[in-house]
Amino acid sequence: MTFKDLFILLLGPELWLTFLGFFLFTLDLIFPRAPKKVFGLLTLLAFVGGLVLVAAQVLSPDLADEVRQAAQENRLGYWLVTTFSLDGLATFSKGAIFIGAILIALVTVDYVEKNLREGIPEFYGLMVFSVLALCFMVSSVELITLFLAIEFASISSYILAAYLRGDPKSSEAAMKYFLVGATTTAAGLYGMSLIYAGTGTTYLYEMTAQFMPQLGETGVAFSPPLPVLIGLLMMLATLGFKVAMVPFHGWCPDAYEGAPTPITAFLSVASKIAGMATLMRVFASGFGPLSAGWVPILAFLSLVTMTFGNLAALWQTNVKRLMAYSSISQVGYLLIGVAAFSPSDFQTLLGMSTFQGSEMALPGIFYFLLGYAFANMGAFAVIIWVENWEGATDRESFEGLAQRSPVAAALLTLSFLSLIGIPPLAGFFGKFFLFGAALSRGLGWLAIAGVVNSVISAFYYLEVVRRMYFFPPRRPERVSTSLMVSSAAVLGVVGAFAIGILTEPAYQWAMAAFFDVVFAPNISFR
Amino acid sequence: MEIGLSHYLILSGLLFAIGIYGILTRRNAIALLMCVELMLNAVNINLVAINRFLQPDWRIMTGQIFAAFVIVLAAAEACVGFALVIAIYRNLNRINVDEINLLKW
Repeated sequence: MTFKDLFILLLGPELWLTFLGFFLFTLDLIFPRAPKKVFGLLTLLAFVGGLVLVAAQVLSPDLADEVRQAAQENRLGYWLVTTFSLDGLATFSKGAIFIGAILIALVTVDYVEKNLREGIPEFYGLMVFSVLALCFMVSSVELITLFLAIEFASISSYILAAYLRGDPKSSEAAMKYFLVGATTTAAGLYGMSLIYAGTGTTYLYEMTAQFMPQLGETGVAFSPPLPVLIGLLMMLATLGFKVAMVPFHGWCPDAYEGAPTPITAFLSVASKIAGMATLMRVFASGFGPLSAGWVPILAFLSLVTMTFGNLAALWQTNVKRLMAYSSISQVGYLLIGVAAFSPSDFQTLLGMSTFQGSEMALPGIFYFLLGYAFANMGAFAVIIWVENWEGATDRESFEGLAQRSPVAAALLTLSFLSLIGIPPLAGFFGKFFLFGAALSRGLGWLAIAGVVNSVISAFYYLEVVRRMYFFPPRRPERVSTSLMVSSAAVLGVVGAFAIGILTEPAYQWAMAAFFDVVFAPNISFR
Repeated sequence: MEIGLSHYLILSGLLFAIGIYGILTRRNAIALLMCVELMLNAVNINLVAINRFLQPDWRIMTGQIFAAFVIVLAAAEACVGFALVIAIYRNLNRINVDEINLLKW
């Protein structure tokens, strides 16, 4: 294979998205009269094609071997190999991002036709570009690349959040999102400069290599150099902002409420998967040897995040805002998995010791993320379903939905049940793996807090369900929607069911994705 | 007295602290944007100084290149930020973040 073939194979989804993004931007200039639906369908095509390309990367072992060999022989170029990684973490999260993005594209078309007057091609183009940025984010293993990808994603999202131009709420949401984002990014960059000072490199795995020998000598109780630890915590501000972790969650409810609803879904699903994967890459994979320094902090933040999210959600009357607090609490559960990390996991990741079994929290995070993506998209599809008809997302709009559209009410109920964690839906097993990992790592208090929080979360989810089933409808007419929105809702719920029922294969897939490192030459240190 | 790395780090730390202080106290959206710029410039001083003093091989310029990217990023971010300020001014006729409170819990 030539360099060009390898390059295309390695960067397939990214190149495809870049091409289609620019195509969407220029198409409108060439054919100004093209029907706007075409752009939505092209966006859908972009995401489906991206998913196919990721699947091709994962499922074709010959090609993966070819890439790996080329990397070892240094035929791919040092700059590419050291900045861009296509390991299991990257491919799995790209797959999850694309699945989420496909469902988002399905719900976007109707919403855009109803709510946007101008700038529709650019809206879709920016959506494609922000997914592109998320793909780079989960693949980058070098600080400059990583921060450029994070900023690329953030800036696209700021614009998308402000897209309802006549609506002051949308502008305000974007403004708050922007201010928190810009501040945390600056803090994260300062942290990166401190890490650069402490390690003398910007390559994530070279830093790991520097810390590995010290880990070997001193075991777990290894106190990292101070600038690196401070820098790492400042980087946590950026990553915590991306996943809406307390204390960097301030933007989340406002941005979720004010932004166009498909963008809310995008922020809560695709953006969150990428942020969580990057957080795992930086903390568990890159700075794994320093885990003695950051595990207590993340355990504490996990507790605060889920408790705050769940308690604040109890008082919400707007369902979009309720979903914001719900997603904050889900991040809290996910952080349990990161906090349940230990350096022995890290050695497993590098193939230095044998696999320990169910103690590993990281595949559990992937499983949870996939289930969360499906269930949350199911819920958001129904919210858009109702919003397109009612023009509002307050709780009252959902009253009596069981009579006005039994299917929508049932789908929303099932999505919520998965988010609460009721078997056999995906949410239950995701929590099962995460809490189990916490128990096996001596974080029993965190597992108990997670269970208590799940119980609290049932109150506000079921309150909406109660209103749908036991309240009289405000208006008698049926709530109907297009095939795209309803199929997105059905796909989300079916996905949550499928992952829950097929727990074993799905978990094995998450595990395999994690261990079958398709392309991570940077792990073989110099 | 010779100017060493610590002087630059203290300068950048001060600049960063001023930026944070401004973010916490100023209420004008444009002033907030300027404070973010201060923080980003603190990062730049850090990166360039660290590269200059801690990298023995003068041909390796990671820090300088990083700083160049940060400058580009600051420009892009300011561009979007001011566009958002204009959008919110058109909608609400004010840019004081205290008075922008349609969304609250």
